[in-house]
Amino acid sequence: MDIFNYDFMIRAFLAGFAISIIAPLIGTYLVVRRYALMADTLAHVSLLGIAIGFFINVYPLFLALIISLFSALIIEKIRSSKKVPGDALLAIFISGSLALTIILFHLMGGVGMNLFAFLFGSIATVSLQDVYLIFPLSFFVLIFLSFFREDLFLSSLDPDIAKTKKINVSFVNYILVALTAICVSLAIKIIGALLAGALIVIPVMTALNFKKGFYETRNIALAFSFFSVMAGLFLSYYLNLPSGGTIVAVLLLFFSFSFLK
Amino acid sequence: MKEKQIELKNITFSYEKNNVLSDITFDIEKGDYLGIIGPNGGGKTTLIKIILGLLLPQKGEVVIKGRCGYVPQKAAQDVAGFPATAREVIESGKGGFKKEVKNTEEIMKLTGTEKYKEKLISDLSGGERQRVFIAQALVSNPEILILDEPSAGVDVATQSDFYSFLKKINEKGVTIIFVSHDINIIAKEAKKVLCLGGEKICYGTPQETLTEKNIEKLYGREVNFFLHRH
Ligand SMILES: Nc1ncnc2c1ncn2[C@@H]1O[C@H](COP(=O)(O)OP(=O)(O)OP(=O)(O)O)[C@@H](O)[C@H]1O
Ligand SMILES: [Mg+2]
Repeated sequence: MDIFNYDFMIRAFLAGFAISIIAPLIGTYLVVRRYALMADTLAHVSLLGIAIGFFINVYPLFLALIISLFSALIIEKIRSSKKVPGDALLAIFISGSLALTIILFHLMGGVGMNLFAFLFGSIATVSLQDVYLIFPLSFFVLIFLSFFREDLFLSSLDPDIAKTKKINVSFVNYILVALTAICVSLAIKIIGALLAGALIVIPVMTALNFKKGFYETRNIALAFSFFSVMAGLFLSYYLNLPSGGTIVAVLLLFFSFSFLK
Repeated sequence: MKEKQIELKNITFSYEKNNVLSDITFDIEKGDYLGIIGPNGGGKTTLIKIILGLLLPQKGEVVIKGRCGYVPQKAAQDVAGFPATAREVIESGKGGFKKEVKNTEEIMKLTGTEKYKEKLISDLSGGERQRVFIAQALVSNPEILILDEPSAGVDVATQSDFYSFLKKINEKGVTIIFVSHDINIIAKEAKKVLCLGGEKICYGTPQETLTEKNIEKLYGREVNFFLHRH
């Protein structure tokens, strides 16, 4: 297939593969906790990281990671204090980071096209350095997810019960948001800051329509995510469409069909 | 003299400025079966959360010896939409107690949850779901089982099964604390009663505590109730 004659396509598939595995695994916990918007928020914050990276000339994906990790911990800290409404807090971070991003891109001048690629994702932007970052980090996320699997489940089901079972719920919550931050910042190049939330949420919503137990739901989400990302990347190449939008369109197609089940 | 398992000393608790519990002191012995009764907002759930260490009192001290299993108020309703099978919920009850864990299959037999263990909890009836959460609490082999309104919304037949089940567990040496609004259930099942209305109104055996005078004090007015003495 000529699609694999291009290095950038191989890089895109490698990055897409890794992201398509970790996003729905994290998404399952976020969705059942009604915390899906956290993914979207952190994706926007990552975008700010990218902008800062370009601005100060430091590897943008690395800065996206740092900034979103840092914000994730701050958001979780404020949210758990229950002093402000959680959804409003997320809204502030979403619009705040978009505002700063557009200012930075404006100050740099003439990189409008570049911003567009990060908003909606573009396969052409995945560098070899990105792949080298995405793979080990995705592996790291998987290890954490499997290590904290039971703690994540019980603290999602009922935090109070979890606490009486000697689980450090607040620590587990921090782990979850940190993994979310890593996942969305890695996903930005392929699917874009505005669309990263979709990859975390839609496969899980699709899987929920199958009315299965928790781990089965998670596995179904994983399958849908993987097939949608792969199909999305193929379509995006052959139909010459933007990758982020195409992946989300495929995800939505599966989601619609899942209602027929 | 039996061994003390839980000691509460001068517990005072408020949510921000809203004082909920004042100066609560009492002991629970090993193997006790305590029923807590009181008006809505009387602080029953709050007291339970303090015993469990989920809330920290502003004043006073809690001494507790042994593992607790907890079945929260409305746990069964609140998580009805959570995508999980009964088995997944029950097995998650191991939590951080890896060593203490009981055989989950055995617990499922004991609680009668075995029949529907592969069903989604959203497909179970309220009473069935309640049992799932009790099984979950029992998995870590607790020495103290704390249940907040466990039989609310459970039909009479299931309720009677349920309380004979609790009795069986209590006879095996598990200390039980439960909250109920049903005076008759408390009178029939509990060995000790705590009447809680922001403060300790009375504490003792059902015979001592469930008097017309105490009940009137507890609810702040005359209450017509029939007590079936057994
Ligand atoms: N998280 C909270 N924040 C602020 N106030 C609270 C909170 N939880 C409970 N309260 C208040 O504390 C008081 C005691 O509540 P609690 O839930 O302990 O009562 P309860 O005896 O369990 O009542 P019920 O019979 O309705 O279950 C109530 O007035 C309630 O409004
Ligand atoms: Mg209550």
